[in-house]
Amino acid sequence: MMKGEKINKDNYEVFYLDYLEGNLSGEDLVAFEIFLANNPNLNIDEELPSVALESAELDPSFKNSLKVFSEEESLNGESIERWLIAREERLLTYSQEKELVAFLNKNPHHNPLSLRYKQTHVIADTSIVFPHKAKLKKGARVIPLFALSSAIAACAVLAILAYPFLFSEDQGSYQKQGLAMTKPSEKPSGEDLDFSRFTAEKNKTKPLVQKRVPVNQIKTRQIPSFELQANLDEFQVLPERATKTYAQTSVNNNSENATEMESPSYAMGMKNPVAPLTRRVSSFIKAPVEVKTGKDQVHQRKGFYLRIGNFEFYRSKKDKTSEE
Amino acid sequence: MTAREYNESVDQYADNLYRFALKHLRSESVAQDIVQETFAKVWEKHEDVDASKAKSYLFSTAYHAIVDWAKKEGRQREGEIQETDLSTYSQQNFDVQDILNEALDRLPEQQKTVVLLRDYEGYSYAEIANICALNESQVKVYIFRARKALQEYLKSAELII
Repeated sequence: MMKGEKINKDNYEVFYLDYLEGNLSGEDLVAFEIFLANNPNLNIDEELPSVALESAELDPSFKNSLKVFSEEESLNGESIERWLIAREERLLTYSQEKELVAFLNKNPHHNPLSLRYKQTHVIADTSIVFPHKAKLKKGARVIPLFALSSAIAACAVLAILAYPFLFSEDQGSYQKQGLAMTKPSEKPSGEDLDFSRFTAEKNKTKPLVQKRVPVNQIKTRQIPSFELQANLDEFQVLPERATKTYAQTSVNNNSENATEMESPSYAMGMKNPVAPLTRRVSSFIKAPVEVKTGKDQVHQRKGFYLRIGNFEFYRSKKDKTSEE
Repeated sequence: MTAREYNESVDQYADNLYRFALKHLRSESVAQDIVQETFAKVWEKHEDVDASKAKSYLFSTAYHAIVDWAKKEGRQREGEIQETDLSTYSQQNFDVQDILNEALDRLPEQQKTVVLLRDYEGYSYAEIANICALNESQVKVYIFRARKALQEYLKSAELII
C-alpha cells in the first residue's frame, strides 16, 4: 500500500489487512475508518475472518509427550513414562533402576503401564528365511555330489579304455613302469651317465633303493623282473613288484584255462597306471577296482587286466617284435 | 571384502535383511527383490567395503532401497493400513506380538525402521543413525515416540478385549 493512496472498493482489502496488523498510520487509519463508515454494505468482518489464535498455549500433556528422557530429570508421575521407556532402552544407571523399582512399588497403579512398555519389543520371526541364498553367492559353484562321482567314474572308464591307444607299443608300458630302457638299435657312447633315463617308481610306503647305472651297461630293452634280475643286478627292483596281483589270483582260481598272460611272470611286470583313480573309485563304490597293464616277459605279449567288484576282464595281444 | 567374506555375509545376514525388508514392505516378492538388489550393490563395491562393517553397509543399502521403493509406490499402502480396525482382535486370538506387529505397521516409516533395527538387530543409536543417515538425537526421539505409540496401541487393544 502506498502512503496517501485513496481507498476505494478495489483496494480496501489491502488497507484492511494493514488495519488488522496495526500497520496503518494515523492519517490512513482515519481515512480507512471513514471509508468503512461510508460503505456499510461491504460487511468486511465476514469477508476477512480473523486469523487470531484462540489460544497460543499448547496442551501441557502434548508438550510432555514431546519430551525425551534426560538423566537430570527427576522421577515423578509426570516423567514416569520417559523413565519406563529409558529402562527398556537400557539407558538407566543401576541406581536409577533401583529408584524406578522403588517408585513402582510405592505407586502400583503404574505397573500396567510398566508391563505394557516391557511388551513393546518386537521379536523377529526367525522362521522367515531368505529362500535364494545360493543365488546371491559369488565365486563358488555348487557341484552336486552325484555329478562329481559320475565324473570320476567316467574318467576312470575313459582312462582304462584309452590307455592302449594313448601309449605306443614300444614305449608306453615301459615308461609307465618307470624303468630305463634303450632300443636295441641304439649304441650308447658309454661315457656319459644319462640319469634322466632312469626313473624311479613312486612308492610312498616302501622306500625305493635304486642304483644308477650307465646307459651303456643296459644291454637289452627288457623289463626287469625277478627272472631277469640276475642279468640286471644293477636294478633294485621294488619288493612291490612281487606282490600278488588280481591277475595272479585269477590264474590260481582258473588254472585250467589259464593263458600265457596269466602267468606269474606276466603279472610280475604289471602295473596300475591309474592307481589313485582306481583307489578313489574303489572306495566310492565299496568294491575292489583293479587296472593293470604290462608285458609278458617270456612271450612279449602286451595286455591289460581290469577288475571291478566280481567282474574281471583281461586282454592280451602279441608284440610286434615277437611276431617278427 | 573378499568373495569368501561376501559369501559369509550372505549366510549371516540375508535372512535378517529379508525379515527387515518384509516387515517394511509386507510383500515377499518385493522383499526378495530388495535383498537381491542390496547384495548386488554390495558385491559391486565389495573391494571397497570393510568386512567388519558389512552388516551396517548391507542394512544401510537395504534401507535406502526400501525408501526408494516406498517413494515409487506412492505410499498407497499407508492408507490401507490406517483402515485396520482394532476390533478385529478377539479374546481367542489375542497375542501381544500380533498386536505389536499391527502397531508397528501403523508407525511412520522412520520410527518403524529405527525400532526394527533396534529390536531385531540390537543396533546402538549411533549405528542406527549411520544406517538411516540421521543423527543420534533424532534416532533417540524416534525410538521414544515409537515406544510410546506402541504402548498406547497395546493399551487400546487391551481395552477392546
